[in-house]
Amino acid sequence: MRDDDALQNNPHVSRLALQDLHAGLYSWALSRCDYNHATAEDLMQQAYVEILSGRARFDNKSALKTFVFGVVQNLARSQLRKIAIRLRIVRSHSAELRQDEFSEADESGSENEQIWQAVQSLPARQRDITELVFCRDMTIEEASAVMGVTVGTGRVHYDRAKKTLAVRLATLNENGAASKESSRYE
Amino acid sequence: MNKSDEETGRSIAESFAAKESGPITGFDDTWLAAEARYLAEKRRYRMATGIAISLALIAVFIGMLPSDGKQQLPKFELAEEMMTTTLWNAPSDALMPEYPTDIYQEVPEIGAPTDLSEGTLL
Repeated sequence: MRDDDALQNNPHVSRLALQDLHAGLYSWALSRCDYNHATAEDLMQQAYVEILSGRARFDNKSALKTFVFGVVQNLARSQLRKIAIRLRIVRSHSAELRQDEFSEADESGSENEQIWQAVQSLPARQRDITELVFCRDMTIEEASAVMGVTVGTGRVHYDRAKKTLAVRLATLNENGAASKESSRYE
Repeated sequence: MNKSDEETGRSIAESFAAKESGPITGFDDTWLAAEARYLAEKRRYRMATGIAISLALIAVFIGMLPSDGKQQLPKFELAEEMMTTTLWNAPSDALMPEYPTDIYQEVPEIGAPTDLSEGTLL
């Protein structure tokens, strides 16, 4: 890290290092905000403000990635919880209104969509650790640090999530194979 | 992580990537906006501190100003004035009603005869 690149109030953090993490961090922020881009953008800016001001201080004891993901997680929890809940309520309400439309779409939905739905149906902690491990390339230890839980708890959440997902994905595969088979005979 | 885990992980990552597709604000834009926000926050903090200090100084200045004459009367003078006073009226006396006739206007004389004259006292 160049000395002039280090942040004034956070000497162990550099602008370049943050730039490298930006894309992954944005995706994480996006998933914290129920995939609302405007809210995710706001969350990202606030996270950078926290780092710039030194209110969130990196002490170089963990990986920078873990630290910044943790900052976003904590901000999302504290500041944007209400917004996220409101968004979810609005979306679930609109989903109820268009249930018939969606039920058809679900059956014929893409495999990616079905897998994503399976992950989203997991409890929050299990969903988070699944996302951090499988999509953000983190170890269970790092993911636990981001989530603010002990490694043991993280492992339990990961294990349960994996088992639940294995069952759901197997069901999806069976249904997919069955529908293919039936369409072959028609 | 065994092979099935890897496969599961790959399909989950693909599903998330498909969901996250869309315009992502670049780092420079987000960083500039964050810096502007941070500077505005600092400016607001400085302004609030300045206002608080100004208000405190004004309060101290007002406290140091000489007050009017009545408040400056020493307490012992008031006490002396009260010691020489023989008549005192309660401030609430002004609220009492005034009757047109005073039943105690004619005070009976002490030692006057109590014999009745035409049914009444003399």
